[in-house]
Amino acid sequence: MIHLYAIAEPGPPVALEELRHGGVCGIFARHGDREPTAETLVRHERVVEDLMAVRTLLPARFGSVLDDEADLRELLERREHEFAEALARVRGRVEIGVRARPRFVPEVPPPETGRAYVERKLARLRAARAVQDDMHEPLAARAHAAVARVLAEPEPQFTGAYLVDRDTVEAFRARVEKVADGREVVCTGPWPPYSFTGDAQHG
Amino acid sequence: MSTELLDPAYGRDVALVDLVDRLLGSGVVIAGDVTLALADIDLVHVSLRALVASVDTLANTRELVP
Repeated sequence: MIHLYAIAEPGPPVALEELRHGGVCGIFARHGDREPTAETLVRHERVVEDLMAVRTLLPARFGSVLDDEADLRELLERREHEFAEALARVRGRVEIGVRARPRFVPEVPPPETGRAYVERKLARLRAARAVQDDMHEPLAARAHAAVARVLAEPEPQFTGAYLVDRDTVEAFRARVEKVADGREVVCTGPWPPYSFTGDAQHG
Repeated sequence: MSTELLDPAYGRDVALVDLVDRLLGSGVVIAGDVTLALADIDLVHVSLRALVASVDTLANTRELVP
């Protein structure tokens, strides 16, 4: 089995195996974790981040397994152009995650009817959307690419992902705090560019 | 990297959720049906329940904070 960690541009040798086709490489191992737990996810992420220190890459989703190298080669052949374009977009860049809560969300009793449930959910989405309206655009303006969404559960929040140059991470973080304007906010990262591989996203 | 908050547990939980969301919900998808039990389920709910017991483990590994 081939456990795929990343699709990468060619570059200095890494501790894992890799297979190259044209301008794209698949970096993999013969063994790996399949079940997602905090430990296996952290372990996997460490590997990807170590790779990212020396190579431009698109991180693979956890659990990406192929039968053999022939399958990996077929994948690289089939999607070479798409991967090469995405790699060029993320070269020298990292992903910053931002999550922010509304300043205030009115407490309401637990909904006892379907209608009350819907109204509560809509109120939560509105509260989260108001945060997005304030925060997303000024942050996206300082990023090469950005995605945003709002969540109602388990609590209302705005979450954004921003693709920024590596050497602007601290400046971007300062910008996030400023734009949050007193709201509770958490920045995570720098991440490999999970949200900017060009693949369809869930949720 | 994280921003300090009034509630440090929120920051720790967010780092976990962000990790799960990325590794299980983003990244290059190589197959139409990635065989993960958690795929397409409400990742925030499931991830926090499944992983909250492992927060201490996470804290002992390389942090997402400087």
